[in-house]
Amino acid sequence: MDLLISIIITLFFLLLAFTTGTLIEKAHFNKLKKMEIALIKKPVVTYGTKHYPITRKIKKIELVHGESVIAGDYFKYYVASLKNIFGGRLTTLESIMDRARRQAIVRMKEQAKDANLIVNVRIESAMLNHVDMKNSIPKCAVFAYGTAITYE
Amino acid sequence: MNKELEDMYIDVIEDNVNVSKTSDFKEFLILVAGFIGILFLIIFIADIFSNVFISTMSDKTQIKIEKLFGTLPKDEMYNEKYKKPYIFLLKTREKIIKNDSSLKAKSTFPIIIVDDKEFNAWVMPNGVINFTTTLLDKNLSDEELAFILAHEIGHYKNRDHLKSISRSIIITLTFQMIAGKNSDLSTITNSMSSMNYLSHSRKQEIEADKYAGKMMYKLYGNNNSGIKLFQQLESMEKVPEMMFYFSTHPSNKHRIKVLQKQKY
Repeated sequence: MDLLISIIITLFFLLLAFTTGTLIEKAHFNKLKKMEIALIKKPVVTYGTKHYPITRKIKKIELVHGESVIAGDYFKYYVASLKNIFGGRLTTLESIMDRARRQAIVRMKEQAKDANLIVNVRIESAMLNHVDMKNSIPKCAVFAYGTAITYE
Repeated sequence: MNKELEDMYIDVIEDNVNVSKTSDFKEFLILVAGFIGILFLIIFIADIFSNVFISTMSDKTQIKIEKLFGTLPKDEMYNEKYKKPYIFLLKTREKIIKNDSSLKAKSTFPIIIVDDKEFNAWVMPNGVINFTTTLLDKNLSDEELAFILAHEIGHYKNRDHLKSISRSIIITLTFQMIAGKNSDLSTITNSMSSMNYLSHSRKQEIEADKYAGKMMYKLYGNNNSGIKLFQQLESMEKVPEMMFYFSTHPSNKHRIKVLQKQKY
């Protein structure tokens, strides 16, 4: 009897996490698409060397950055922990990382509203959960930063 | 920026290559099925191990293992009230041991009556047979009592305890190695191992029933007492048929069918 109850509870939470997680993810992707298309005219340049050749006169240079912290849902981590046995790409976590990165870039671009160009863009990530704590929720922070240049 | 370039960028945004197109749910189903397949394989191996080693084990080793469970207690009558069924049980025990040569030079099967509210009888790994007072209060007929006794001795004869102990040692150890501290996996492994334990236990009950039925044929010439007993039990408890998949004992209907099919 206890067994039946525990199976039903686990399945219920998995199904709940799956439905809410997919709905939220779809909404987030749609929002990201809209924002990216709105900001499409802001060119982002990552440049290996620190000196970017600019011939026009510069009015303003500033540091712009965007951050986002993201965590998956119960279902995504459940699938990921099953993958631990078989190996392979953690496809459920890939979508979360993609969302976090794009959100960070969009925020950075939004900060550089009047700028013509963002150069030396870097993207970095950091784990925020306690790795050695047993029941800590895995979450990840993604930062995007660069130098915004405004021409005269 | 010209129009063509803009359209190209929009296409890149619309068609995201960083996210895989496969459905998460499909992946989940495939992974769970694969994981359960691996667990089934482990259970299968554990089954073979326990069946081969325990069944072919010599009687000497069995008695050695049984001694680990402590010395055998003496027969114990809980109350003078139960004198009549008690003496009958002692007599039937001697008859059963006489009829089955494989039970000689093993446990003496002490019978102990326990004060308990549940309708139950059980056998310990070393052959001690317990009857609850509630079972004896029900005024079962002599043949029905003999059937219950033979059923419990059947468990002992089939080495059911030793088999389930060895199985569960193998299964728990390997499952623990796979799942480890991961609580997500352990929900699957735990439910798998307990479901498997239950189905194994139900099989053992059926085997013990068959043994008891055979013994009844030897003692009384028929196994109607077992059928009658389970018919009584069926009228006593009303549990839906499906719930027996989560129980250690098979449904009474199933047990009646098995006994009805049995021929001496």
